[in-house]
Amino acid sequence: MRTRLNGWDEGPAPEGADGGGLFDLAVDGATLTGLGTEVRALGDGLTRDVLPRLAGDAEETGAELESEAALRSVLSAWRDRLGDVAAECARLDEGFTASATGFAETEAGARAELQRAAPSWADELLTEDGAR
Amino acid sequence: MTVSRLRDLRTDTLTARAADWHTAVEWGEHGRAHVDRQLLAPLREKLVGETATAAETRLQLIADNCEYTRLQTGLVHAALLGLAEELAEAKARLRTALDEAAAHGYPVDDAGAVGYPETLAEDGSVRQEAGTATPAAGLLDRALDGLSLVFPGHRETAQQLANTIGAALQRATDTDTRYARTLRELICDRGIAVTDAMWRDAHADLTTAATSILGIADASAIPSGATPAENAAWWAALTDEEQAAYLSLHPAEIGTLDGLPTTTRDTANRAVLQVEEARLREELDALLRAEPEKYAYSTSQKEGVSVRTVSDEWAEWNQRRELLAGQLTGIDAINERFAMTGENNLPEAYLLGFDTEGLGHAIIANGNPDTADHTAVYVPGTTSRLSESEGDIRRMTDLWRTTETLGGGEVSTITWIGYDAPQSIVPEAAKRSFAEAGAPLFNSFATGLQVAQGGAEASHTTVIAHSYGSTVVGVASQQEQLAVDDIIVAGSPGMTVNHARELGVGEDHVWSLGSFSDPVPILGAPAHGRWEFELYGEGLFGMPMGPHFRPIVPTMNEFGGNHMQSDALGVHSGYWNEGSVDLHNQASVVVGQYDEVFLK
Repeated sequence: MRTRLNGWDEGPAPEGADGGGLFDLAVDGATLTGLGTEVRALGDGLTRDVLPRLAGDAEETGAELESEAALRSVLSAWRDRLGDVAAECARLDEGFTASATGFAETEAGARAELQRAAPSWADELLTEDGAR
Repeated sequence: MTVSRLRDLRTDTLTARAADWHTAVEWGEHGRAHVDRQLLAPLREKLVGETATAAETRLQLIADNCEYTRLQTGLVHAALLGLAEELAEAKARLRTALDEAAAHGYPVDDAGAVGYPETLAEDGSVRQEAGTATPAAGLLDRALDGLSLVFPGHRETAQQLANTIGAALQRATDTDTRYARTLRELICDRGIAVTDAMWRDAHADLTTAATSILGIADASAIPSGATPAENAAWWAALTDEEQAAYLSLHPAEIGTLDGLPTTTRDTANRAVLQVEEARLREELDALLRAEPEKYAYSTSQKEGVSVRTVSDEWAEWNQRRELLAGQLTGIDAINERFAMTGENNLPEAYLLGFDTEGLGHAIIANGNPDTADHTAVYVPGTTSRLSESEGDIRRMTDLWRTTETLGGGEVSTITWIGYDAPQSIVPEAAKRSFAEAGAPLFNSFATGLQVAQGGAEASHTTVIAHSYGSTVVGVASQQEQLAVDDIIVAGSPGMTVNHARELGVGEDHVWSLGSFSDPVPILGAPAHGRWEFELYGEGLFGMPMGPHFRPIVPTMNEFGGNHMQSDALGVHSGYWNEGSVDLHNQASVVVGQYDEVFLK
């Protein structure tokens, strides 16, 4: 992988490194931090406001309805799914924050961080199950 | 269901649970907007590269989850409200019957059987023995009810009560079964993937829920044929929960209601777009797997040779394939516009209308017209339809960007593919019937914008009509007062009136664009220009003509109004070319900077 950060080209990839493609970035640390904050807020909305209300401890009608039994299954499934979505928001937050931290270092440090961390995050983003 | 269970059933717990689920609905609704505005927009604006692309993919998946959650949990929410309502009704009937039984002193057992004492005749003899009436149904039910009117003894009265109790129990049981079935359809898969199959299921769930959830959001109550003001009043009178239920169960109907807030219509129509996209893809995939033989062979009697022709079956198949593929192309164009939000400050898009009826329709706004200082509505002409929406959408995004360079307040530009336009120059574009059918739809939409904005003075509105679209606007102006402040027409073949002042917005607020290379104003004039008698005039090659009739179109001086400069290249479709004086002129009118317009 060969990286170009805000127009600066690190040069050819080291020998033996993955040479597949150009890792071209226009990077703004504040934007990355902001993205981390916003995606965390979205996930927090689930864990703080939604999931507690789908905890399954609500009062029942007392009539032993068939639909209440069905609702328990629906609730359990959605609790799991929304929990997975909240976890994905947290992962994205970590990714954005890690990148922002890396780019906030000195230029040299940022370049090193970019070579070390950002491409792996990008690889993870690009390869992890979850593509549309 | 037993008497004691229904009698003591706490429907308030169901409505409380509905409120719990509503938090998920709201999270989905706000979450999608949050991802669009706070995440995807700055990401596209400020970050470039593979990481940004990958992050966008992941964030788009979160946005899809938000929308999927909103749709599906919205149905759970509506189901719980409907269940509570229907069970409450059954319970109320039971309670009424139990109260009456108690008033008579009749005991009622848990199965609904009603005990009654003996009935005495006037002479003190026993006319009827004591007994127990069990719930009956059907003919016997009615016969016994009838008997109670003729012989009002304890048995008949008890029987009538037992029947009422039995009916209430049966109703509660049926309701419970129906809602249980509906709810089970809403069990989701774990994970964060949102696949085409899931959207297809969502379409099926919506169809099922709309017919099985009867206790709330009655479809027959949705206004039909009402004015935008009446639509808005109906919507405003609903509770928040009723509005949420209508949006969940009947998004297609709610999305079409002119006069409703833009965000409401957008929410409804995005749901329709998602499920329709899945439905169309499924149908197209199935169609492609079943391509019939393309050619039919027959032997010519005259020549005695084999003749190959395209089979009727294949032609029909291909027509359907082209329609489906075309509509999906239109949906892609809308989704691409959604994805452009944030690029070079392009504002959020709102889907004010969407359907796949006929050739399909779509109404897409750049920026929220409800809060805009200036609003532009673009009415396209011949061949406009859902499948061709990309170009019409782009024209209004380009116009929005041009208005941004002028400043002057918040602007919303809208592409209105809201009528069935002619699909051929000859013969369809020569007919006025398309304009006559489209005009009331345009008037309703424009008036609806005004209602949602808060009145005629709330926003300065310009209609921009291209080609046959100008004929639609001309006809609309003759049906009622247009709810716009300025009219721009480009390449107009005629507006069915012979002077700008007849359009009702004031001659100074009518603006025409006509390129020297555009033949449509001349060729279309006989069909849609207003014919006028002229004593003398110029004929071909400037030759003088005697008395004659001729059609008047907006690009002619006689029409009046403002004639704007045009450097449009591309014959009939260059009026939105990037950097053109045409685009500048339109933008100037849209933001009310009339002094900036270059006139001929």
